[in-house]
Amino acid sequence: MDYMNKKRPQQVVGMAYVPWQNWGELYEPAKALQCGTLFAVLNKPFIGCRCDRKR
Amino acid sequence: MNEMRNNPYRMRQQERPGCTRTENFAKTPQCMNDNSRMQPLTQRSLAAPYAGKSCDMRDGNKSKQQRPVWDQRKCMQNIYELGFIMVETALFLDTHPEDAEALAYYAEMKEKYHEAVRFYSDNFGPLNIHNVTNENYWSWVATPMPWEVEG
Repeated sequence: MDYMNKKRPQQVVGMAYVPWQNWGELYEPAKALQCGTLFAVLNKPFIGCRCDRKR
Repeated sequence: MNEMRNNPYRMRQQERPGCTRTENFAKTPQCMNDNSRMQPLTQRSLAAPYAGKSCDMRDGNKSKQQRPVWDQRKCMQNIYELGFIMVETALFLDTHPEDAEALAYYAEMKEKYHEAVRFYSDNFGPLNIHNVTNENYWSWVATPMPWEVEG
């Protein structure tokens, strides 16, 4: 697990990165099935318009 | 007429428990006469759990008939939810094999899931062929076929 906590190298042009998910806030079972995911950070409902970059 | 009554084909058809004719449920073996397990077709054609109307509305039996169907759907829904949570947790653990919180959560949900499956199997019939617990009767064919289940 140590290699995941080291300071990440600076991101460079032309490379694709995927932020690392940590064990975080969970939904209740009923809500999880309804939203389609157990993790609140992964619940990305379709809005249909341009969203803020931090979303 | 006597010949028809003694016709072996007719007798076998009546004794076949998977048939949807309601009178067949009266002829199932004694071990399956528990009312909470098997629901005749008229009772299963009750609407969604919260609906007040059904096609068989004798006042005396109203609450008794509605409650087992509602609990069965709720138990099945619970199994769906817990099974989904197990899949999600397993996917997380595939990429985070040493996450202690995730492992603890997985163990907790696994226990709940198996408990829910056991509860459903004990009360409403087996969920798959690996867990048929009735020793006197192959209850796998006695529960409704998938196309006979309401909703």
